Amino acid sequence: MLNMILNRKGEVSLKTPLLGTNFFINIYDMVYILFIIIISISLIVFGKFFIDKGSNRAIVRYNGKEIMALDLRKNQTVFLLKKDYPLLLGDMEIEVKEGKIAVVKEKSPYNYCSLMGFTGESTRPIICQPNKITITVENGKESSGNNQVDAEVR
Amino acid sequence: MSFYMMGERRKMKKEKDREQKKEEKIRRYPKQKIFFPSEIFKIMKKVKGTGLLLFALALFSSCLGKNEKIYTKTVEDLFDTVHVISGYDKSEKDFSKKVEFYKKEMEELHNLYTSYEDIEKVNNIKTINDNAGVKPVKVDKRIIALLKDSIKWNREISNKVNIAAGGVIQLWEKGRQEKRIPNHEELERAKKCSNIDNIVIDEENSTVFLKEKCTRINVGAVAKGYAVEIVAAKMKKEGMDSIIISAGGNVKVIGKRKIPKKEEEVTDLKSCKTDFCIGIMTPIYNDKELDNGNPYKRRDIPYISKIAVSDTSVVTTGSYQRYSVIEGKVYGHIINMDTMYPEEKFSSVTVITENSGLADFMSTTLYLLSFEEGKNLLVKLRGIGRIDAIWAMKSGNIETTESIVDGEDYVKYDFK
Repeated sequence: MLNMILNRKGEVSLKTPLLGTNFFINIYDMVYILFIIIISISLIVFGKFFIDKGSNRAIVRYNGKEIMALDLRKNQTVFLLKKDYPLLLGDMEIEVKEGKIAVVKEKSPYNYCSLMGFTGESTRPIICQPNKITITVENGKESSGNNQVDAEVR
Repeated sequence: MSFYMMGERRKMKKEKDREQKKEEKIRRYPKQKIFFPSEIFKIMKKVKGTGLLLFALALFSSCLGKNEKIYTKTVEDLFDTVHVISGYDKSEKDFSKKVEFYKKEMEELHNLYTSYEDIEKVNNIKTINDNAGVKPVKVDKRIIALLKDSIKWNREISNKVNIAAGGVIQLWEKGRQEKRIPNHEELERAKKCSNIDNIVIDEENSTVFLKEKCTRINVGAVAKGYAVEIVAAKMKKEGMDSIIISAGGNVKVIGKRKIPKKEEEVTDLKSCKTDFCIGIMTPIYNDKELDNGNPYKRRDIPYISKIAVSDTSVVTTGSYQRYSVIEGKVYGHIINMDTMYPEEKFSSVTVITENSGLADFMSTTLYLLSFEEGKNLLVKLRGIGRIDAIWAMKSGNIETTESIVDGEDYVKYDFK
């Protein structure tokens, strides 16, 4: 068993039958050990609850370049104007609602990107090829909800 | 006296005190082995800081719990489409490296397989076409491989997909842009130049020669899938797995899901727990007039069916995404060389097979064959591995090959 003796100098003497040794640990050593334990626990807690989560956001790219990052926790409407982005076929309206994003108005031959509707899944980006716009969700859910699809063939 | 000297003196005094304490303890416990806390610091110095080591361990343990998760990135402007790459990785940075690898490899293949662009210092399909009837063109071995396989599949599987029919395809592309039907005589002339034997491949010298001046190669029905297959094989060789490549709707799956889904996350397709889940889009035009009477518009479902797959390719051919309305009639982009007109037998045809290039070839072939002909062809091809198909009939009925059964890895929805 472990015997602990506190001497006058505030040192703790630990005696174990296994080792037959007296270890002297002073208050600084105890603080040091406690510090390491607290740091370890807090890092584990931090990693578990904060690192993985992050905030959901959507990255809007025009002609391959990132032009804005939209916070999906905030309902908002964003307009991309043809005068600012000349490769657009017309002005475009992007809406963020309840953690999901959609292109609600756009000009293109077949309107595929507005047809796609709202997405909050990282595996379902919005692609507006004729307008040179792509929208990808970061830190989004995996395939979920009713669709449960990782990729689409068309 | 300098600060440095003062510091040195203080250090020496501390060292002396420590030694005195040590001697005192030895006097008090003469028979016991004594461990002095000060020795910890000496050891710490030797191992360059045990504390630092412990701290690093704690940091590592905190990261250990961090699961890999799925990331998605897009690659644009290659093969005239947007490529969506999804895969499991520890960080976005690591995943981006994989996507960069894909992009670099695909870019090279795009430059080789394009029949529309001149690329500096590259002899590509366009260079071969431009030198038709003039001289053989020295090309990269990846062009030779693509042309050889396409010709082999045309001769051994079905001649419905003909890469020498570029002339006919060009006339239709021009017609769709100008919203007019190509002149029949022009089409007939182009058809006469579409003999696949006009493509002469010299493997030894790595050259390709088109015997007739009017022959044009168009690899649109094969090249994208073929390129994806090459790059996917390289990625797998490099140790990259659990990745889905969707090249404008041509899907290639490398490996299977790295982190299985929870039971409650999977509803109608149980195999999606470990396999990747692919949705086959509902063939609608998104146009009120064109979708008038379209049975797939009856239900508001984004997919006609879903399939759970691993290490395979899923490719769909249909006209509902690339078409033109000329004089009130829809003309798609898949040309039947027998009639020289766009084919409209099915709403879509999907092929599931391992090789992405073959999947591309087969989906176009089955789109051009009748349902019975297609089914019989797949029975004949059983020897070369799994090739399954899903036909979305114009009636709203979904037909499949026999091995695809509604159940754990396949589900279809009724539109009738």
